[in-house]
Amino acid sequence: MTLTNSGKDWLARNAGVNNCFASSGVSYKDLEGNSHTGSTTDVAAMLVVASLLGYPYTTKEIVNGKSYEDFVKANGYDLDIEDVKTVCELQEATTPYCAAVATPTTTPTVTPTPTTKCEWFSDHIPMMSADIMDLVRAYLDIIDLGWDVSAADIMGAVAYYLGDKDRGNEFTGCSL
Amino acid sequence: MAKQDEQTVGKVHTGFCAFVQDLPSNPSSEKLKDLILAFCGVKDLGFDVSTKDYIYGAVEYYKGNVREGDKKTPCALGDS
Repeated sequence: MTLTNSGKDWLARNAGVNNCFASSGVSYKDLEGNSHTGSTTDVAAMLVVASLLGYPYTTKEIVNGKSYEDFVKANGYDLDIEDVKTVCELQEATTPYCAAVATPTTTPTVTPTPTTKCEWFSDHIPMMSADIMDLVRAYLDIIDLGWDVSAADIMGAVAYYLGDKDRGNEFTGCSL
Repeated sequence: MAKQDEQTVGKVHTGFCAFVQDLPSNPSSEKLKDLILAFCGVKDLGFDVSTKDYIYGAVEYYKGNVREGDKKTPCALGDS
């Protein structure tokens, strides 16, 4: 009997209302493809049915376009018959269970950056190792790219090279 | 062990066996779901689902495995 917090969150997001367990208003499908409306507990019980019947029922859509296999990926464990009671208790609690709200990541304040620099980065995506070498040369004043290259720009270029645009933008101040 | 006569065991078996008797010919996952809810005490079907074996048996009926279902439940659908 293992219903993890990830599994609860999956149920709240996919089989709840406003990301919370709900006693009604949840649309789901049975394993014959018929549509129903019920509670988060109904969905949990249908997921258990899919588990008991096994493949290919575990791959059938039950709720929000997702199947029992999708649930297991989130929960990490199979859902047991007894877990349905737990879901019901969480659903009927004075404050029904709600999925954890993702904490928004702090967006760094981006200082306006000279267009020339960002244009250069934009023109060199996907970033090549030769581009990074040019940045290093410019940083060492060996060549001139038309703008001042900082160490952060080089780190940003490496991030772009690794395919991490968000991280690269943080370093360069550009919005690629 | 001989199957119990539904008439002698009260609402438990009479209700359960009547509930699952059409599962082999008309599989319904909603019925299986309701049995789970009844076992957990969430739903009242008018009879008790006292052990998980009833659910496992119903799953066998759903799959058309009547003999296996009969082994796990007090029902004798294979005799009908």
